[in-house]
Order: sequence, then structure tokens, then C-alpha cells
Amino acid sequence: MKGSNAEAVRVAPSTIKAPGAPGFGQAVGVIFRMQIRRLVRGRKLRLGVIATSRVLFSVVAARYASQRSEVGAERAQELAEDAMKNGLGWGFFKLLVFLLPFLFTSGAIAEEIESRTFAYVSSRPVSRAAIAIGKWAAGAVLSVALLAGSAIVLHLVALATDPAALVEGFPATLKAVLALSLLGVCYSAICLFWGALVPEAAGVVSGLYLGVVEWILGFAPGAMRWVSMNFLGRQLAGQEPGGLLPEMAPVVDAWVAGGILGGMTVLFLFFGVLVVSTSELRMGNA
Amino acid sequence: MSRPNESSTEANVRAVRLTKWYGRVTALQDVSLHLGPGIWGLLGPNGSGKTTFMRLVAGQLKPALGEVTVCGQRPFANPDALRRIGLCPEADAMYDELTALEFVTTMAELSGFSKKDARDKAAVALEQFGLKDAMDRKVGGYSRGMRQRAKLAQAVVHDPDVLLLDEPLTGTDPSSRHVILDAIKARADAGAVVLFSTHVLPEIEATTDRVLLIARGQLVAQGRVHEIRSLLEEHPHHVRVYTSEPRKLASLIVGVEGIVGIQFAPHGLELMTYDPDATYRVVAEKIVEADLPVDSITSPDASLEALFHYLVERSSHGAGTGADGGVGRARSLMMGRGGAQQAPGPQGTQGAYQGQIAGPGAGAGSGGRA
Repeated sequence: MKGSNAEAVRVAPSTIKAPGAPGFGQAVGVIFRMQIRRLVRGRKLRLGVIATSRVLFSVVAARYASQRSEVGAERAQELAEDAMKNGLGWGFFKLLVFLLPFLFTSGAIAEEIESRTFAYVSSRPVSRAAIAIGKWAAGAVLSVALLAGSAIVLHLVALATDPAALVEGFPATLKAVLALSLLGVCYSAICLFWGALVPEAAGVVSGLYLGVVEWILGFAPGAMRWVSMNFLGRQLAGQEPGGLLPEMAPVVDAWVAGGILGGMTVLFLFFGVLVVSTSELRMGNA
Repeated sequence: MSRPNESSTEANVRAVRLTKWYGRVTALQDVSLHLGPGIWGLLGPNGSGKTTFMRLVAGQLKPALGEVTVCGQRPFANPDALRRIGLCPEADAMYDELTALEFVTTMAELSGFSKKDARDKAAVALEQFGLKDAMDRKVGGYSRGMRQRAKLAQAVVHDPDVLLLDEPLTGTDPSSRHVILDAIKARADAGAVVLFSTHVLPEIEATTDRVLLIARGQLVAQGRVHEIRSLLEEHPHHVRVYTSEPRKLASLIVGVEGIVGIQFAPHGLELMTYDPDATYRVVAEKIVEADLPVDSITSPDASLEALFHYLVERSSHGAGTGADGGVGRARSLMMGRGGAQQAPGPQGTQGAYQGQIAGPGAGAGSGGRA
């Protein structure tokens, strides 16, 4: 019988010999691997893959549907470039870049607190900062992998019929991939922070923040767009500003946009780690 | 006493005026104790503060007031203290996506073992708890008892000095219990402090006679069961005499000093006394002199359950805490070598914690069994 008690072997410990605490890097690595394993085997990665596939499918279908009749080579290239631009703009910058970090990171700490599994890792001799960073890194890596991978697939499929555009358009796609990656990492830090701060409503609060501050203000008129990392990411990727009164939208240098995105990531990650390190995380109530 | 965050080689848990509240709710109040190596039963009704105490010791929560140390160090977010702690939480929550081997290996790696050593230690720990053949299955598919054993395996995989087991036998079958209790005893024999909370009193009785009783967030007693019982002077001891001639026996013992009540019961007689040792002796003499037929003489309240009910009942009447007379004296019980002591307060003295009433072995024989 599996797990039979009859097979239990009595092993009497002769001495007590708890090992020394692991180093910070080792702890981050262990937490990272565990979190990746859990995400890969859980429902969230499947949901992320389904969402990404649907976006890819929709964009590619729209791109080839628009070219059903014979058009000139120039028009065909325009259609392909439009498909790429709109696909990246709507499918990636306005949907997937929010959805994937939200799926993979907003519950990284919160769900463990709510389901009471956090006790296992927090009772180990590792710093809570290592726990938080390992979990954030796992969510960020999966988000970036899906975003970057699917953006490159989109580039290859959407421009497959035009080898010249396939090559010429690659730098622009790489820029978009870089911007998406920075946004994915930043949003992962934002979701981790809110998940740790309000574990009982991590999804709602993270979703509200991303929806209001990042999505809506990313299309607001004028200087209000500065608070949205999504706007800066789109600027970095060379996307058109769009939204309300686009002519009033600030023009941001790529280095400035990248620097602000990196800074905000560090800031949210710092506060997320601080909350996890110093707070009881409502474990007394769980 | 070592100062907090000064590591101690001997396994111990110390609390000094430990208090924890959630908002306006006081979960634990003014608990002071010192636990040395061995198994300690942690008893108390639901909501009494047992799990809060465990979480404070495990470094999951921060004290609101007072202090808790494990091997001389404060445990909250302190890797040096946490590496010496093994925790088996009460909740039936696990990483269902992982196999038991992955789960315990991960916990061992987080305790400082290399990847290979962690895997070896995890396999041994799982084998110890009878999960050798199931260790490659995901824990999400485990029965409650198997999950409980996997939880225990992760708690002991790094050979902790202090093992905290919150309801470790929940959902386990009798043979699993045997395996688990053997493993717990083995850890205690190796010099660990094992704190074992349960609602099932016979489980504690089968494992240890050293208990901590918590009710309404307060430590109402600690020490060996019979010693605590002997200090509860306001509750007379009950002695049951199983005889077919209760009236004759009653006529012989009426007026004997120390016996404060006699009741006729279906089995024979039930006596109430403040001096059970003397009562046993006198009753035995009378029985022999009169050549009465007696099947047995027992003391129903020598059991842990009776003690538990006395103390919880007292506590619920607001009498079992702080400077309370009877239980206050029980709280001041001090144990000998390897046992529990009331830790001194910050100033070294604290009302009910003063005074040694009973030394090691005191009270032995009181409330004994015939």
C-alpha cells in the first residue's frame, strides 16, 4: 500500500544538528525554483498561455483577413505593419502586460498568507526579503518570458509574407519587447507590494491600481500621463500616445522613460520587501 | 540567563510576560515560562491562545508586550533563531502542486542544506513517517493523514532543537499516531524541546505528563499533571472505592481526618479528601481490618482530563489567573532539572511567580492509583 504505516522506519536522531542558515542568494534561488514549479503546474500559467494565445491568434487572423484580396506590395507591407503596431499596442501594452504580472505575482505572498502556507517558508532560517524577492523574480521571469516570446512570435507570423519587413521591423519589435519586459518587471513589483500590504484583497487592490493609475491615467490628457508607467513604456517602445488629447501628451526620451520604469520597479520592490520583512502579514488573523 | 539574541547551546524556550493582542482582542496575556528539553503538552480550549503562543515561539508573530526567546534569541524574522525551530502548523494547508519529496527537500534547502543533502534528508524524513512509497506523488492527492505526516517530515528534516507541533495528530489513524509519537519521543530523547498542542487529552497523557494549560489567553498551570493537581487545594481530591459493601465501609471511615465528604455511588463509595495520601492509607487499613470485599481504589481526578476541566472552569470564572490563590500556586510550581521554571519578570519578581512550592517529585503519590 502506498504510504503504508507498516513501512515506517523509525530513525532516532542521535544528536541535534540544525545546519547554519542558508545565504541570501541560495534562499532566493530556492524560493524562485519553488515558485516557478508551482506556477508552471498550477492554473495561472495555463490561463496566461491561453490569454497570450488568444491575443496572438486574434492579431494574426485580423492581419491576414485584411489581406484576403489582392493588394499591391506596398499596401500589403502597410497592412502588416499596422497589424504589428495595433497588435502590440492593444494586445500587449493594453492587455497582456497587465494581465500576466497580475496573474503571476499579485497572489505570490497574499495567497500563501490566506491559504496559511506562508508559515512553512517564514519559519525557515531565511530572510523574508529573500522570500519576497524569490517570489517576485519568479513572477517577473514568467511574465517577461511570455510577453517577449509571444511578441517575437507575433513579429515572425505577422510579417512572414514579407521577408524585407521581417528584417527591417525587427529593431522596432525588439524595442517593444524591451519596453514590455520592463513593464512586466515593474508591474510584478507593484503587484507584489499590494499583495503583501493587503493580502486579504490582493487581487482587488492590485487590479484597481493597475486599472486606474496605469491603464486609465495612461490615456489621460497632458502631464497626468507621467504617473502611468504604461505610458512611459509605450513611449519607450515608440508607440503613438493615443488616448485623450494626444497632442498634449508629453514626449519622453527613451532613456528617461527606461530610467523611471527601473526606478519605480526598485521603489515598489523595496516597499514590498519592507512590508514582508517587518509585518506579521495578518498571520494572526489567518 | 542569556540576553536575547545571544545564542544558547541548550534547547530552550523562554517567555517573559508575553502578551499578544489583535486589535481589542487579547489573544495571550502575561505568559511567563521556561521550557527545557523534553515533551511538553500544550492544552487549552478552542480560542484559548495555544496557536498564538505557537506562532509567537515560531517567529510568525511579534509580541505586543513582553518577550519570547528560542535558545536565547528572539525568533521573529531572525534566521539564527529560526534555524533551530521546526514548525508543524495546525492548518491543513500545503503546496499541493509539489510532491512530498519536493516539498520537504525545498524546506530542507531553506534550512541550509545543499541540494543533494536536502534531498537525502527529505527522503529519510519522509521514510521515517511512512511515506517512502508515496513521496513522489503530489501532496494535493494525499489523504489528511498523509498530509499530516508530510508536514511533520518537513518540521523535523533539519533536526531542530525546538519542535513546535500544533495539533500534529489531527486526521491520523492509530498506526500513524504510533509512528508520529515515536518520532516525537525520539526527538525529545535527542535533547529537543517538543511543544505539542492537542485537544485530545489521552494523546498528551500517552506522550508526556508535563503540560502547559492555557485558558483565555493566560497560562493557568504548568508542570507535571499530578503536581499541579496536588496544588489545587480548593478542589478536594476524589477517591473511588469499588466495593459491594459501601455502607459498611462508610461507617468505618466516617470522621476520619481529612475526608470531607462521602457519597454513595453505583460502584461503591466516592470520597472527597484534601489529603489523598493519608486517605488511601487509612481506607486501606480499614478495609484490611474489616476484611471488606474491594475490587479497586482509584482517583478519577488524577487524570489530565479532570485537571483540565478544573482549571478551565476556574479560569472561565475569572479565578484562574494572575494572583489567584489556588491556581496561582499551581502557576508557581517549579520543576527540577530539565523541567520548567517560571521565568522571572523584567524586574526579577512578579506576584504569583514568586516562591517555590514544590520541588522535583513533590506530590508524587498524591492522588495515586490503588
